[in-house]
Amino acid sequence: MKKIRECIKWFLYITSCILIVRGGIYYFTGDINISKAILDIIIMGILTTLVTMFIFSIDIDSHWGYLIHYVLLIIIVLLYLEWNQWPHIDLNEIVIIIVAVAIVYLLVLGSYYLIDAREAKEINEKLKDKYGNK
Amino acid sequence: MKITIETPKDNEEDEIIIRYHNLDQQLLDLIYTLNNNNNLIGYIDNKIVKLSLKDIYYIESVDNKTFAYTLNRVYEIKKKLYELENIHSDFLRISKNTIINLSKIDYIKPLFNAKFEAVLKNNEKIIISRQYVKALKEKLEV
Repeated sequence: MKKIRECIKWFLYITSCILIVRGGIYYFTGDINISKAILDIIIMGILTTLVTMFIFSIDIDSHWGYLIHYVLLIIIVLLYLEWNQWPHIDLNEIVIIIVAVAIVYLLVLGSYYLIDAREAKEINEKLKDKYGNK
Repeated sequence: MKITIETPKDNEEDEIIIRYHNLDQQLLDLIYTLNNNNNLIGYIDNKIVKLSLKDIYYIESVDNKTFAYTLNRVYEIKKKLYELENIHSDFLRISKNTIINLSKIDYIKPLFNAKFEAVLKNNEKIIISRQYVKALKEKLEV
């Protein structure tokens, strides 16, 4: 049950951030194929959630761990788009995807970090109250 | 709390009975103390050492062996990690292979990989798995 809850949470975080970034792209490109995009977002959210949960279930404290995670996410998104909608991938589109994934990555980890920081602060206060004088 | 001391009958064992309405922290600590004497037996360099729980920073399981870490020494403990989970109310499991002494935590901080890190009073850093954060919060009544 814990795993399922964790999975849903990650899915919501990631999907929301993808939505924000894709929304930004639509705004600038004028793309109106929204229903297709929503399906893309949900499927990419599921795929990247599964990869994220797998990567975070093993210890990735080094910078290499984050880099591997990021590269995996890019590969998944590119493969999905290539399989699903892009007849031709050109360099510009690849660069856009790499940047978009980076923004989503930073948004997700940043928001998660901020929530955790608040929790850590509360825990630290309790630790100080209970063991501060030991 | 009322304390009653009685002399048992000749054919009875010595016994401590605790009657309570609320199993609060003070009572839990008392039970832990009675059960464990606040000590663990550690092994180091072919020597057997009586370790005081208050000196242990954390206990870790590595390759099916269990080790207790004090300020500057590591002792092997001839017990499985799960047997030590309830050794004292200050000790809490924080990952699959680690039990930490909460009184030795200086502070905790979040990591970018959705885990937390406990920085101990000796500046050692221990990872807290996310699934154990809830237990930590419950223990501290956050």
